[in-house]
Amino acid sequence: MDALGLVNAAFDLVVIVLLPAVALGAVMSADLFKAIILFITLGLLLALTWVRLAAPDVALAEAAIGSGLMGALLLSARERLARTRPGRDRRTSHYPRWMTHPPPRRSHRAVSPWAASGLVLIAVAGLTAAVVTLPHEAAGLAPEVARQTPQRDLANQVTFVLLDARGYDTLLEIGVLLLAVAAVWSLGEAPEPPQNAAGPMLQGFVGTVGPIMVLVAGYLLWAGTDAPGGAFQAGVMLGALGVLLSLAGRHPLARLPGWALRLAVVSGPMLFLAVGVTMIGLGRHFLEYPQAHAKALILLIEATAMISIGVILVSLYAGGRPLSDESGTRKGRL
Amino acid sequence: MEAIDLVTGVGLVLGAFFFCAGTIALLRFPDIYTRLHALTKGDNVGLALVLLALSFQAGSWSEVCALLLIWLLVMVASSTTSFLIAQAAQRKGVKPWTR
Repeated sequence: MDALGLVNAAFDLVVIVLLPAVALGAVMSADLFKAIILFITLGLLLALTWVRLAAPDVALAEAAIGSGLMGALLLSARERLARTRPGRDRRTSHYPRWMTHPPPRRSHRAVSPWAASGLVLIAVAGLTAAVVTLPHEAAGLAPEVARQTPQRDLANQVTFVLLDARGYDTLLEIGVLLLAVAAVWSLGEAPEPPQNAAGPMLQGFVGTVGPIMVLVAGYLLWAGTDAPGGAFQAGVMLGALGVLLSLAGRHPLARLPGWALRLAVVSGPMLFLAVGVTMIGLGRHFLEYPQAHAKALILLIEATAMISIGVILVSLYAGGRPLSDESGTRKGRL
Repeated sequence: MEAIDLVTGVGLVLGAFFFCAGTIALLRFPDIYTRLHALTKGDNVGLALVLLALSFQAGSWSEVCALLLIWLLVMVASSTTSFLIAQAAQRKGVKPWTR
């Protein structure tokens, strides 16, 4: 083994040791804040792992969604939990108890820890058996994908698989996000965002970084056709910008009337579906694109999906229906 | 080994030293303000050295520019976050450490 291989092996070993340790810490920690920070760390370690496995697409998605936005969502949920006085808050009094009360430390566990550990052990044993009995040198689907991927137009094999060969995967993922927004909006209205929390530093930071983030989102979308990137990564970039703007006290969706917000949320999946159904009408399969227009169609779908994903993520972060819905005025904050 | 690889190696080791120093400070310093102070300073210099070392290995000027951009963005982000953390601590009433 040469020097570089040795360094890589040492790096991998560190990651392999850290991954379960951090995961355990996140699960076992009684302090919610500590658990969330460890969860964010776990996401970053996972992203590193994907990089080492030569899967930059997955690494980007994991770092942006699994670590960044999930972290922001968890932190805001924890902060909201701390602000909520159980049973008294008008907005949350109809919530089920488990949502407004901190988890009990040791009382009435629903599942015995032994049963849970047993299930996990069985799962681990099954996975281990599956990995051990994997055929060596299995070719997998990689050659087939490489053969099918068009050479010039859509050179990124991951994008090709996700949007052309298995487009319904991506469609369903956006569908899940849509369902999540519907669930969050049906739980209640968004909490009043903290006023004057952010000073000039954060606002200046958003002013500096915001334009760059928009640029990066556009780049990720465009590059997604022949390099790592795509609608999800780009949408998360926009979503993160939206979260930053909310934190800086400039709620990005506040000026949108309700119908525009809802249109932005559903336009991505709707266009996706419309194109798919049109293809059936033209005598093709669902979500099968004609070779000549594949790139243009996929870019169009991805651009709309990016907007939808960004708006959905910001709506999720807001944590409830936009306030304007009840008052009827257009000054609602989100 | 060529001279340029040696320069890269020295830069990487120096960068790692600054990262280590920042991390040790994070673990050993007495309060949040001193920790933030040492950590952000150490990490910025460490990152600068690592990226400088890597830019000697870059194949083109655009790669060098990308590395420079990474450094600038991380600096903007880390200085802002360290300020915000310190501000939050001050608002919560965390007293600065005094001997």
